[in-house]
Amino acid sequence: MDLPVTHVGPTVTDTTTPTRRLERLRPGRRLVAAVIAGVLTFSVVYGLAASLSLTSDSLGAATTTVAACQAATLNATYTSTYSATSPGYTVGTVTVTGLAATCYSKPYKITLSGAASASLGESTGTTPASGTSFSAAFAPAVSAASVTAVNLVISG
Amino acid sequence: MAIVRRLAPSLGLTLGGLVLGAAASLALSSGTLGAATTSTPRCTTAGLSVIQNLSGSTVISVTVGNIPAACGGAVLQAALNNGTTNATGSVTVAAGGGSATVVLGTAPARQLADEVDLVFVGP
Repeated sequence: MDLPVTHVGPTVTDTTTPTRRLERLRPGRRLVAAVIAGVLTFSVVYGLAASLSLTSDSLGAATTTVAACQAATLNATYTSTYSATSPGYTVGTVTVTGLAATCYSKPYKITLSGAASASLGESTGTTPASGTSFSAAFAPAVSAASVTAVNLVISG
Repeated sequence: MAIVRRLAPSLGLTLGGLVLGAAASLALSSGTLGAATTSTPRCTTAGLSVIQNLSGSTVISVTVGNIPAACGGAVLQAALNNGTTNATGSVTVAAGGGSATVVLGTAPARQLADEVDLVFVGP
C-alpha cells in the first residue's frame, strides 16, 4: 500500500518532458490522469455534437434561349362580311401568309384588338404542315370598324 | 510534401463540394415561341361621299367619292340596308383613288332612310 508522500524542501523547476513526467507518476495517478484525459476528449466530442442541424430544399437553375420559329415577316389579311344584325361589316376570317416550314404544325393564337388594346375576339388552332398560309375563323365575327390591331403568337 | 499531405483532405473536400454544386444545375430546353402585334391601318379617315344610284324606285348601285390615293388597289365593299332587306357588292378601287361605283347584287327598294356601310380591304 502506498502512503502519501509530502514533498518537503526547496522548490525545484522540473525540466523533463511531459512523457517522462507521466512515466514518473505512480500507477494510481496515471489512472487518474487517463480518466481526466478521457473526460476532456469526450467533452470535445460533446461540443461537436452541439453543432446545428441543417437541411436544404432543392435548388436548380438553368437558362436557355427562347427563339421564334421563323424570322420572315408574316402578313395578316381580312375577310369581311356584311352583317345586318350588327349592322355593318365584320371580320370573320383572318388569313396569315408568309408561313415558313419551320413553323409548321405548331399551335397559334390570333387576337383582334380594338381601342385600348382590348380583345375583340380570339381564334386558336394549329398551323398547317405544308403551304405558306393558314386561315383563322372568328366566331362571332368581329366588327371591322373596331379592329385596330392584330396579334399573333406561335409556340411549340 | 508534408504540406501537400496535410492539405490533401481539405482539397478533396473542396473538389467534392464543387462536383456537388455542378450536380444541382438543371437540364433545360425550350420550344419556339414567337409573338407579334401590328396595327391594322386605315387607308383613310377622311369623309367620303356616298350617292345611291336609282333605277326607278330601287337602288342599283352606290358611288363612293373622295377616296384618297392610299386606298388605291383596295377592295371597296358596300352594303345597303333599307330596313327590310339589304344588298351588297364590291369593286376594286383604282390606283390614285378618286371615286368608285359598287354595283349591288340585288336592288333594294329605296326608302326615305337607307343605311350604307362601307369597308376597304387591303391591299
